[in-house]
Amino acid sequence: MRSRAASVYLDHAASTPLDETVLEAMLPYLRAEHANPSALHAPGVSARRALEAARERVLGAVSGRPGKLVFTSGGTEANNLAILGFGRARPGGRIVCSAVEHPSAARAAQAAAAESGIACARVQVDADGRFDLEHLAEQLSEKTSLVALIHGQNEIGVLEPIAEAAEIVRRLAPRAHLHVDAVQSFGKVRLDGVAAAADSLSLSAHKVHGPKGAGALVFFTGARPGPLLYGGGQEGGLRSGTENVAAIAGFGRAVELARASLAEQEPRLTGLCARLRGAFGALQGVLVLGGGAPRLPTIVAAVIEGARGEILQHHLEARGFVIGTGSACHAASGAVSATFEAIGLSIEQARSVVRVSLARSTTESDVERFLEELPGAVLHVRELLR
Amino acid sequence: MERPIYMDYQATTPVDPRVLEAMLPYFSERFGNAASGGHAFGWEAQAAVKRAREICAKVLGAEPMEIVFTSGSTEGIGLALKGAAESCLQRGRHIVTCATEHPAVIDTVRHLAARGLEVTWLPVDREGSIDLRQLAAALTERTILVALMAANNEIGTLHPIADIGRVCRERGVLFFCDATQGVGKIPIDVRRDAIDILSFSAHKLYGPKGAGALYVRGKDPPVRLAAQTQGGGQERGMRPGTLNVPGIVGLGRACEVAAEELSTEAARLTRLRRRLHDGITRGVAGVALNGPAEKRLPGNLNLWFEGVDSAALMMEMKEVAVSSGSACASTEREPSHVLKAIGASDRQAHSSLRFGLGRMTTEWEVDRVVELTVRAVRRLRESAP
Repeated sequence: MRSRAASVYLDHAASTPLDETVLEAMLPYLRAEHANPSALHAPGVSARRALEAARERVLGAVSGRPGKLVFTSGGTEANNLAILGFGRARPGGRIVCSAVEHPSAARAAQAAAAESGIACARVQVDADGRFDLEHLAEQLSEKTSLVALIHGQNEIGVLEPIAEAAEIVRRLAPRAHLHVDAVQSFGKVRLDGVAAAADSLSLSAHKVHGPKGAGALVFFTGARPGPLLYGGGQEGGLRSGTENVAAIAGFGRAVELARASLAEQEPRLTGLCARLRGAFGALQGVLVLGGGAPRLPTIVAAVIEGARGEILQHHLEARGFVIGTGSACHAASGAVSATFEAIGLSIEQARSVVRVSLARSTTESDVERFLEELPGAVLHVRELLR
Repeated sequence: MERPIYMDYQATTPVDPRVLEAMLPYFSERFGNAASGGHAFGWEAQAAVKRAREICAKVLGAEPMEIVFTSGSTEGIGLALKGAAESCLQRGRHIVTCATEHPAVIDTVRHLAARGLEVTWLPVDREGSIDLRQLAAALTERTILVALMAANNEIGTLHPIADIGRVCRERGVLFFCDATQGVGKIPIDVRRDAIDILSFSAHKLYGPKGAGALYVRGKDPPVRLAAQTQGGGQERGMRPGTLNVPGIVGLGRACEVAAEELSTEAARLTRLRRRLHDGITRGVAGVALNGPAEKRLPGNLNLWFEGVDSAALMMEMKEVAVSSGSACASTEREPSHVLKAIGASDRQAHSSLRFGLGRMTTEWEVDRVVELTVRAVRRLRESAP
């Protein structure tokens, strides 16, 4: 097997490499500036300043809309804080989410609904994985307390119609809190429209060349989520626990970089993804997921009929290309993703999905070389399994 | 301005350079998601997490599968208390804890109490110690859990965890130990001490902020905790979310270093603490020790300066980074709940200062802090009306 360093990494939806300058921004807080930001002495005050600077940076990168930002340990915690936190703030209400949520949102919605003793309503999607807005409308009522919707879908790569969905939510469920999972879309596409439509957004640093261990919940409502953690009262009482200053500083820097490069990277990556989709589509017996729907500029997923996803993945890795299959979270449990079921894939098809995901660090030559290898790899694996 | 002398090691500790060195590769080239089971980037991350899990387990006398990684002790404590309360609902609804616990325990227990859980708050004596007979007497048929800390973060009191564990085990009650200040500082062995659940944090033992671990007994019989967050099923479903691989690697290395140096470091810090204490009491009158004289966390000294406001004292000795209470509470100016619990008046509580000594503390620093403290106390007393 090739060494890791020589590999072309194309699984950025799972995690991205830390940008060098992000690490530079973090290192002072892992060395001399190590104080607890709650401490009143000068080193504590300096750590507190780093936190607040990062908070402004991340909030400013989301949109111009004034809001509040709570730092969390990552996207999973942010989704849980939003869904359980806002859900518990309005007990007894109906909870709605889509059929293509990340497990952290889907299961939090299930848990929040279970606390009220009712099932969580799931909004169906079409074959591309986009929300069925009529079905959404049917799930909503005056009793709906919380709606959780994903923006950039992590397994298929489609961008969901958040603005349209929000309009329906406001009309039919005026008391509902609308939470949007923006973990995959943040830093990849502009979020102004989504931020204008949503009551809260979840974000994660390690999907935008920031560190693992930092994420955020941004909210625009006067209402506050009930905390998941109790104790020292950090983050305005919404998230107790000593803040991960280094990771948060890194998050701030990562967001700054993403924001600065967005205008250049979005069309470039969109072009590379179009090339990938074209090449996958040109292969026989390949179903490129997401159809013609609006997309993230970073994720391409396809069903390769007659080739198990992980075998193709291993075969390509031996040739120096690292790709994904289902999402990393499903890979751990071995279960077939609910998303693939929701778009109507059979179990066999779901097991034949590969996901190629790009980032700022992906070069045109990475993609070219991958595409040279792809047809032969598919052929080889199909032969192997016949 | 020159950097102050850091004497706030119970609030947080610097990352040991050996720990940072171990972490660095996992920030940059080894950045894989530990849940990416299909490729080498994921395996490499998994292998690093596995190794850290083994080290944490070994240091505590536990098995690797009994370690659940968290974002820190506050999260670990929440998962332990709420998770145990939820999964033991059939058995009972009574918890025993103590007034001097960390706010993460106190506030979580209060939250549970608001939802119908009965709570017994054990009193402490003037040194912050509980009475084991009172603990035994507090346990009933309905008691599911005892939550008592290993070492107090403000006044350094060490609870007799092995005795507490024995009492709990005899009565079939779970013992949850918040060992955030204890792991790596005092000997802890979850089997010997009969601990069922234990929480600790990397940043109190020269590891990074943002990483911690919960020991959850896995056999004879296993302890079940209901997950408090939902997601991708990581950490046996108890704690979902992409693992903070560099943080976890740092936690592992921090445990390893602390365990290697525990006995020599404890002796060194005890000596430095006495030197600090003696120096200050020789220099100014009207100083009393909060907490026990002997059986205390080696690096903790909490002193009451009669007639001196601790906030003013901190301002008067800006060359030293110390704390007037626990770091978490210090943004509000409430009198310390720990000092109140050991019988201090509000005035005494507001006249107390915590000196936290640690691995990087030198004798020179101690002598300098003695000098600065003595001078500042004298100045404040002279200028007092």
